[in-house]
Amino acid sequence: MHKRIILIALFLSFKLLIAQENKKNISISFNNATIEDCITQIENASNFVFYFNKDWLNSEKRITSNYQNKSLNFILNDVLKSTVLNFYIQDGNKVILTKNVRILEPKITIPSDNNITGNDSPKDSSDDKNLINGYIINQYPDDDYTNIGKVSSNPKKTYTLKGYVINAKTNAPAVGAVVINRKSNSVATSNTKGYYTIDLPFGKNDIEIVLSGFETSTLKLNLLNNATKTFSIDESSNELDEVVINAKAQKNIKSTVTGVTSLKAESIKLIPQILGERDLLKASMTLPGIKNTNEGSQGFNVRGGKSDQNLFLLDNTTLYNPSHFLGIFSAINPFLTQGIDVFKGNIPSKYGGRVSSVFDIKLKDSNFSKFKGEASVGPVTGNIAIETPIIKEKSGLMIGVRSTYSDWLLDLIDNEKINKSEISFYDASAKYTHKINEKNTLKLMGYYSNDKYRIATDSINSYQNRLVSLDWKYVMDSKNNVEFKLSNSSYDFETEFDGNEDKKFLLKYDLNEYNFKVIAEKKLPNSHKLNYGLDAKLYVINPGDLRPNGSASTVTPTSVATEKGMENSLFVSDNFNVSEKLALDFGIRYTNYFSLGPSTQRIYADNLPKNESNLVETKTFGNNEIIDSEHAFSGYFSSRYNLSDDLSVKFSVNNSNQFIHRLSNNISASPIDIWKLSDLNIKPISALQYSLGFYKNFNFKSNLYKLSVESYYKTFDNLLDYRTGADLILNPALETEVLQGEGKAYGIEFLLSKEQGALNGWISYTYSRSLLKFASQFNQNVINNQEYFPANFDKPHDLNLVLNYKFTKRYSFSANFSYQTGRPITYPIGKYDFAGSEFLLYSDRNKFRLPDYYRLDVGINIEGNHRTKKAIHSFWNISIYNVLGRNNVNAIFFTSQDGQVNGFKTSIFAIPIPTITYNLKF
Amino acid sequence: MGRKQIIIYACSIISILIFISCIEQVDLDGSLNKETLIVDAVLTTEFKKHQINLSYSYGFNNDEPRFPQNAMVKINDENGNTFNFRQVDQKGIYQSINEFKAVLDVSYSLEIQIKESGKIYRSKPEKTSGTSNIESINARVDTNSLDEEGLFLTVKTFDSNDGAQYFKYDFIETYKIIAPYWNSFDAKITSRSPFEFDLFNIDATEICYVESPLKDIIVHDISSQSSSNVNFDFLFIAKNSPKINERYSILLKQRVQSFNAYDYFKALKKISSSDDVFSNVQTGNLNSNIISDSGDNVIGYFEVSYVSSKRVFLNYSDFYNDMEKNYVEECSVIQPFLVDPVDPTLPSPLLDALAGEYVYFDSNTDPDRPFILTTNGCKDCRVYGSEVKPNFWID
Repeated sequence: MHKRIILIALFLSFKLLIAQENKKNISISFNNATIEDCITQIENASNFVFYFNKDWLNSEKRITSNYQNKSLNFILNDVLKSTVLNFYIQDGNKVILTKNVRILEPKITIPSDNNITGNDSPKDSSDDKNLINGYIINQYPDDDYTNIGKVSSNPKKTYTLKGYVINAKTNAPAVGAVVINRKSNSVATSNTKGYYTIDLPFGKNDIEIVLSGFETSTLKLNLLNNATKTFSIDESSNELDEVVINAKAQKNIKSTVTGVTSLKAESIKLIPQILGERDLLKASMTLPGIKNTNEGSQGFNVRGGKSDQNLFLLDNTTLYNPSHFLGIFSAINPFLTQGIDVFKGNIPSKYGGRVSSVFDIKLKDSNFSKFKGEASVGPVTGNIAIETPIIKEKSGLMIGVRSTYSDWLLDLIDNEKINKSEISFYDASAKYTHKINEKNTLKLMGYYSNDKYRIATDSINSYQNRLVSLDWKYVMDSKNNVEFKLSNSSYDFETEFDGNEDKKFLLKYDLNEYNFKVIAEKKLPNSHKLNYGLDAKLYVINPGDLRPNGSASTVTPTSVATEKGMENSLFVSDNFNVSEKLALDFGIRYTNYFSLGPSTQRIYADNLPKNESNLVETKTFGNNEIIDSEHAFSGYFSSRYNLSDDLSVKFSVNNSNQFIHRLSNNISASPIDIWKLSDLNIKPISALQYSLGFYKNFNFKSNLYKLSVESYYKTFDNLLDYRTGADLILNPALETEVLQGEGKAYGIEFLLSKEQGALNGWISYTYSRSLLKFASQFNQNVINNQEYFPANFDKPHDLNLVLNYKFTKRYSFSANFSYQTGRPITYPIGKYDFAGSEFLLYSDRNKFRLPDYYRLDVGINIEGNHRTKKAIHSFWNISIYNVLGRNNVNAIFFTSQDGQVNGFKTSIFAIPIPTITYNLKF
Repeated sequence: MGRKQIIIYACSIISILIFISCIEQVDLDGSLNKETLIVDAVLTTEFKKHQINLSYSYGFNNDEPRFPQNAMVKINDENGNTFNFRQVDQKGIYQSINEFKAVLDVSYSLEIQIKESGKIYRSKPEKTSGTSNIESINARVDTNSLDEEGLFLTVKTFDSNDGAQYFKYDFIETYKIIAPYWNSFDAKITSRSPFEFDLFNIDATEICYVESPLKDIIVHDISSQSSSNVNFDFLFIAKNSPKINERYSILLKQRVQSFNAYDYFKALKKISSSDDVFSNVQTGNLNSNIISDSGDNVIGYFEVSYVSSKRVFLNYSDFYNDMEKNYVEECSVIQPFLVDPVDPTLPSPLLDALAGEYVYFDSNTDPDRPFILTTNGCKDCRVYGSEVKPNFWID
């Protein structure tokens, strides 16, 4: 771009002459020389001076040639023949190289009579602004059309564009894609290899690529000559209620799967968020069906599921704790994230292991051609991400680091309570993408997050996630591709008690998941698309290791034996367009789960509560000896029927199984909750869900609105809950603290979105219930008289409004309103005297509710200067979280000490919190 | 931005981050109470008239519970014997008509019929869960987790060979206190000017005995240890506690519990002391082994236990060399002016003090400040205890 201005200036300031054919001939030979070498050689061998932009020169192209007494015109035409470069000789010795631009001399080259006539003449198709002093520059610098093809001095009326249409996600050939220019009525279809060839008029072309199951993409090309172009198109089948500004209008109607929500990282930057942290996971909670138990608490509750029933995948690798600082921020760097798909209804067969949802978080791939970066400064964290090519056009590396810098602030404060507190976290991600060739792509991803906190106590808690994955994708042919993935995810936490010398201890927990995955895709005739593969997981958990810390400590070392388990699955699914109106998507996943030794398992008397008094024996299992094995089938079926062009109905049913459980006797999840594998005594969870939805697009006052209504009914078996006052840390007999019962959840979700116009945003409303039942013939295993009762996160009404109003291109205002029914709590209703003390009498479990929750956040976004040539783009975000200052009660807790009963309520963010964040992109 | 501004800014951020400003006390709603039967019933291996306490839960605004009157209370054993109880006062205490004791390994069940409602409550059959006898109670000087110096009291038992694994402890502490400013005389001012007063005898007491029952749940579990005897620090007495001011005695009662009874009390303790904002323990009512035929909730656990008890005496001087003893309250004396020396028109400081919480301790030689005063509790220990020496007390 900069070069272009210089070039134009050059033309304007120089006395422009009609170039003379340079009569001085040159003799020169090139031996495996790059174009740049050739130019240098010509400059050395003559008095020509070249003006060009080095970036245009393809360094890989080598030329070996011998010219004897040839004109410069001849030599350059030959050297540049396979490039997009043109040249122009000015003032006899200045050679100006141009890209996609030919400087024409009107008298000589404007085609006037030969083969170009009528309105399609390229002369007419070029704007006047491209005429500079009689020279035509065939470039459209300020419109969206991309030049393609080498400029010819004698353009023809039509040219041929050829190339491949590929699936952007998988790089597989897209078969049967229609390449169309509606204006010129040119149509072509890609063949089985994705190859197409189409004749198009010279000049501006609006080309659409249309393929069922894919987003229709539109490209604006300025066709200058015969050219080759590969089109990448995005799958749309998984994306349903996409609320992104650019979402394609028909996608929600046409896709098959119910209960999928997608968010793109870029689209959430306008939503005001707490302390200016752009947070995809938190933003997902403005969509129907996704909630959390408490404001700022860790964990998500999706369609009535517990917070351990969500599978968080970061580039297809399990992330055990996606939160920082007890859940107030998410541990996903927004700059590196492309987007997130949340599967809350039907979970496709390639995913497995959690019964309620999959949060499929995709990282971007680095840019292969240029260095890019993004940074932000907020009150709590600083964040920087860069993308850099390693081998041009072949590989690139992306690195992002985000960290708190609040510790220096803590040090400034002269307050003992605060000095004793400590909060810090950081995360770092790196991804290397290498496109070996058209068929093979390698990706290497690493992720690390670390949190440390101490809140006015003697113990420091820290936790970290570590993820490494290697991914190889092989595109066999246009119909088959396969992806191999090897990954390791580990999560660990540590509690360091820092009190008295003799009481110091270190408590450690760690979990490792090793995963090998093969996902293959095969396209069959009759619009079947098969997905199949295997997913093998090995879990190794060290549930607890307590060690004295320091020589003076008298703490007895304790450790609970390692747990091991293997979860191996095979899956196959088919996406099938039965007819124009009916599409089906279905699949099955078979899982074989082994609980493995070494282990000591406690065997309890049959049909009696699992507790110490009913212990029959303890059995010892050797290393890798199978303790328990479970076979499970999970399947899904979903169908879509188009009632009309803009109205569709979808029905789906699926079941799922889960073999790993997060145990927590807190109301909401906490970072030091332990994950436990199913074994002889703790059974896997299973769930079954039915859903039905209607999707409608309509125009109102010439704006497009999308409306969806989905309802679901879900049942759970072997849900875990805990006996009152359960002790979970370092407990070798966890099953004695755990109850397994049944659950049911149902709800209806409305989403109305408007994606275009100055005012855009969405409104979502959900009515849902989530109920649990713990029945048993043994009184101690019963909760609430064997009747259904609301789960901790049962919040029937949930309303969210996200609105954004654009005043100008640079200024916009956004607001976010959220309302929820208060969560259920168990309330003390009285007191009683017993065994010499006074105690609280409680209501039935979860019989009362906290006050309703509501919150309004507002923000102003100021984009930096919009001129594209600016090297740095800045973005200011000024927001106020909880602008109404609503004191939302987070929890009520009670103490009865020495006969005195006291109740306390706690709230987080009870005051309006203003934040300024500065973001920049370079 | 000046340093001060930085700090203010930092404070607001940090207070947000650690939520310190966000805890408020809430009022408890007194009207929610659903009257629930509370049963406190432990049948032990002691041969005596056993006692069962019945009461109802009560609202936060009430001071006292209601008690079931004239309920039918009995314990049946597996051999068909029935032990009847009768009400002995209006406060819900029911006592067995005859003396008896629980026989090891025999099942007993409790049955209660409430007269006013006719509802019947029955416990599941329970029996003893092993035997264990206290061998010793020892004390040692150490520091606790809060870095306080004090005495740890440790209970040791003899080995038990019949599976006793879960224990609950109850105790009554009795300690001797000596009023530091004891005087058996009191003074009554008869004239201010000239200053005159009468001295007369009162029955203020110097040495008293304070009885302090346990208001906590102490349970202990030895199921995970290899040996079959208890060695357990059950109590910590801080060095500055008035309990160990002079001489101290504790009667420790250990009962061997079943797993379920132990579990009940352990959970009760846990839910009653959850005051951590970050770990909200699931609260709720615990499931009793007493079941109502009408499906009503019942609080309490019917237990049949083997009991052993032991009393020990300890002296401050056995453990500490210094004499930094602490009386129940911090005691001092004051000598107020009869007439304010700066402004005589002001009320008399001496009379003010006497009208307040101070009492006569001694007369003074200084005529402007004729009395030495102290607080009532420092002069008469009966404010805190009883002058009657308990009959178990050994000096």
